[in-house]
Amino acid sequence: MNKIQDFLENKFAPFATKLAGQRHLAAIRDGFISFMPFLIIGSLFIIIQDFPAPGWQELQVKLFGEEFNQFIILPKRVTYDIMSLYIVASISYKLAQSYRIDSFSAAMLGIASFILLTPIKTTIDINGTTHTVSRVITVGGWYGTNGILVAIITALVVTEMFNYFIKKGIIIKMPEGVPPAVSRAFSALVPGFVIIDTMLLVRLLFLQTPYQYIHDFIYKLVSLPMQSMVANNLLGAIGTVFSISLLWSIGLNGGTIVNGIMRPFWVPLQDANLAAIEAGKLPPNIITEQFFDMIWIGGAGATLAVVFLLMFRAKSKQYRELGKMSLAPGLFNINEPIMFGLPVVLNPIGIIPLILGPVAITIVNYEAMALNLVARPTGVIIPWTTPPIIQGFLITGHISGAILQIVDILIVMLIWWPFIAIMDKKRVAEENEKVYNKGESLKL
Amino acid sequence: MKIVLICFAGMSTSMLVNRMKKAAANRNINADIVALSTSDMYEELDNADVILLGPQARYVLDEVREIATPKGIPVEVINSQIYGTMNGEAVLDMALELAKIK
Repeated sequence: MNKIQDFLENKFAPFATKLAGQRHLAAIRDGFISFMPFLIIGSLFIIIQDFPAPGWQELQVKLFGEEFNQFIILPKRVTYDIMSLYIVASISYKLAQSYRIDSFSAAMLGIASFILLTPIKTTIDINGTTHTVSRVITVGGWYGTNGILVAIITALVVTEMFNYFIKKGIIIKMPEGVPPAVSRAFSALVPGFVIIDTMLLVRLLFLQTPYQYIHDFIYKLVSLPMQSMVANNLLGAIGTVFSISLLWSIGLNGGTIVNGIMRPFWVPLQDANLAAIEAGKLPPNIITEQFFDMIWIGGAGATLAVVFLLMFRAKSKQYRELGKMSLAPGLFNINEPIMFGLPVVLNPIGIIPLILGPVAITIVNYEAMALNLVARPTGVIIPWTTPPIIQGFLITGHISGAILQIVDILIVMLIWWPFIAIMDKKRVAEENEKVYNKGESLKL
Repeated sequence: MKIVLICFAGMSTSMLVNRMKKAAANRNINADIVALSTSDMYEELDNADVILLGPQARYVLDEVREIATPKGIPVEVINSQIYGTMNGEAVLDMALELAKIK
């Protein structure tokens, strides 16, 4: 047991800390997080369009006319369906910000570069013949969720190049006295010119290949294999949940770190579910980001169950108090009080159920959805702070999602109970002896 | 003085901030205490007198220090036990202590 703790503290923790703080990973993560509100807004309109109630479609037509269905979905079209444009801008922005260079220019350059790498024409069918229409930025396709990986790569490359030029001083310098806003705009001129030229060259190079565009290349070589191997299966889900719990065991916010890496592969799966819902079909994919939101009942480690155990089963006064104090944040899936207060972090007894609990309910939830006992995530995004049970209902659009979360809480309680009992016994003994090591005592 | 707390989403830290504000008010200390997420921290760092990180966000420590140390702003990670029990008094003490060194 000590060996494991030693490994976690001295080998794994420094490595994970470095990885999590890595500038580019952080920029990708923060870029996505900044865009999340728009996805949530877009989701809301999908719920309005396809509310899971019988007769709603007919009622819409009756009340607002035939056109309404396509009208009310427009907010989704301008968020999800061109999200690669937003993503390239926000990641460029965040990376430039961490370099402390002009982030607005970086974002603009990111957008221009992304479009330069993407088809600017499309084909339409008129009376059975196909016509090519040029000068079109499509809503959907590579501009939507399928282009995300290229958007990420573009953002990183463009901002790196931009930073190189700024830091090396290869820019047009304005004489002193010129307003800073003007001189900043001019400082983007030289790097911008080189970046745009480079992107034009990349476009030209890909046009010589059978792929035609970098998108097709990345999609076939990276996105599809990653989606099927890592993202969209039970082993991938267990791996994800395991890594997040392991990171939390050393006190790092595992969800942020792992989701930041996995999100680009989850978003297309979620988008496919949305498309199915829109078409009136059942969602095909079990694994989306919301599948994992449903796992973290009360926060990482699904610790709402621990809160209940502490409140109702613990004999230690401190633990009872901790349970009471953790209930309110826990209902909104915030669990730092439990993680650091119990503590679970760097506690060899706590780490076992911290990992086992979420893995167990991942298997249960996945199988329940695979066997169609429980509805699959519809692809609608709701804030991760939505209280459990309500959350399960909203994510799956079905009461079975809510019931599943209740079952999950019970499972996690069973797994944690023996471990809490051990810790509780120890704590009670300490409380009776009243021999506190000052550094360890909880000041509640 | 301005005390900036940083955690991932600024959520659990804002609980702590509320407790610190109460503690500061009880002691008649005039302090501006804010919670920030790691993704929006850049704008606010420059005006801080003390920067404290939640233990779960300690992965940004190097990055924050890179910005703050040249400006002489102290940066520390909050002790996990104190953080977990949301001990506003203790964190306020820590912040005041650090500000003194500065």
